[in-house]
Amino acid sequence: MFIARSEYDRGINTFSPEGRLFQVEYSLEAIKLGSTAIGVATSEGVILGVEKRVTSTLLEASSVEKIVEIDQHIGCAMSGLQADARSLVEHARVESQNHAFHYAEPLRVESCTQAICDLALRFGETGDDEESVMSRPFGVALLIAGFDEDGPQLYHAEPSGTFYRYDAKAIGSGSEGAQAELQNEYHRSLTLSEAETLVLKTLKQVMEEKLDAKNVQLASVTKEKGFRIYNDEEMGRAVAQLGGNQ
Amino acid sequence: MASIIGHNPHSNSIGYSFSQPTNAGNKEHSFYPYTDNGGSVLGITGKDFAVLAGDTRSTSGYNINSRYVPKVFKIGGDQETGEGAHILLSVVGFAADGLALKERLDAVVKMYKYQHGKPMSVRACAQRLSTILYGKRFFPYYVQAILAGLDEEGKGALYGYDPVGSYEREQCRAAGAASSLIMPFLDNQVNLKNQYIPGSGEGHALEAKKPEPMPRDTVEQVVRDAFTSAVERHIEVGDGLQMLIITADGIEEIYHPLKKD
Repeated sequence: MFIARSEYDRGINTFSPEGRLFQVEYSLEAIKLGSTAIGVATSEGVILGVEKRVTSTLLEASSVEKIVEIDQHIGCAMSGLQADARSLVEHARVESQNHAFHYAEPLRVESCTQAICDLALRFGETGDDEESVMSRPFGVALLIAGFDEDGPQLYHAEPSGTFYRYDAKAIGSGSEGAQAELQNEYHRSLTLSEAETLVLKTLKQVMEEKLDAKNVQLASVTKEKGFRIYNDEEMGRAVAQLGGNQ
Repeated sequence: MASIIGHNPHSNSIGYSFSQPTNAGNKEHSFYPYTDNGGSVLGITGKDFAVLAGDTRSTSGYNINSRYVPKVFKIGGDQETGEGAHILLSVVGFAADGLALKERLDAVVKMYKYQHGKPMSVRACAQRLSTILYGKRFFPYYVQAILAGLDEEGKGALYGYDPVGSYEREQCRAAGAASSLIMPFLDNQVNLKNQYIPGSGEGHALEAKKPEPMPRDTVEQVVRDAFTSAVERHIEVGDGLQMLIITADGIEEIYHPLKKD
């Protein structure tokens, strides 16, 4: 099997005889090496949570940025190659600001996700005057959380350019275990603080390190406050609350 | 229009937008890219409707090109019937630019629906039209545009533009050749300017009448009056009055003949 692949896994735009694009499939593997990220959507808003791999006591934990803002009402969590995510996030930010400039209204969350996936699929193109495009598929998956006229929404975007909307989704190295946990625990009447606890609890189960306020990061999207990343104080409270519940 | 964009250097050669040969020894060739095709449009909003109307005469100088060239369009609907449209656009000034602008906005509104899965709101369309116009800041569309529709609350919405995209939401607006004749009439009849409640006081104590949204039949009558009056005093206005009325039920079109002299 491995030998059969070697002929077709070089060219990024070449189908194998079985109809597969190996480089795209490998990019999905890159995500499975990434840190775990979880998103949970409720009727009140969406919670994003990521594990930060604080590999050294000398590492400044606040410099590990795995949840970023796209616009006031949209944010995303990432798993995989962080540098690749920056290109996608930059594109999404430009798209969102452009929309606001042209239409005097916030970009819809689905449209934002679509814009990201449009770029994700543009690898291997020969851009003449366009912004230089990627030569390979992006090695990162995103959980895009936002709030628009259709309420709170959570999307999962992959390097293959496909995206789906989820109630709850986990990506990264611990995603299999985490997704199973979410499947068991999710219900439609979750409150925002319950979702917060669910995200932390699930992260705790799949993380190798012991969860504390420094090696996880939460963010929320609500109608009232838009997208916000939790500060140290809020993180401390959320993690302490989890300890109390266990 | 002329006062906004500057003077057509050939306006003394009536009826032509290109230069006429002169008797002088040196011939000067030039090309002026704009023509003023005359005509007027006007829009008025009500509680749950908006009316956009325009005469159908097309002129250049003292010539009449046609007695039926519509200046009011449905945006975002079917190509032929306009079915499904929920926004109106009127353009007056240079007809070719007006047509090009309408086609462009129409395409933008249709693409928006495909890309975002919802019809474009009038507010969003108003902002988009502004950026389209400003995008040609240094070779403008020679038009005064008016955009109409229903806002998010179902109220009539009307936006008036200058040729480079400055815009404002208003209750009523007249544009084009006879705008200086029609606009003061609308100020008085729609916004009740200079109208006071009789006997409410002396001098400064006189209480001004407060404008209220007008019922639809009154608005239609005001529009007809505005145009029949404009036709009497302006040579570039006449032939026919096309009125598009947008309500929650859709868009209705009414045509009235005007004097053809």
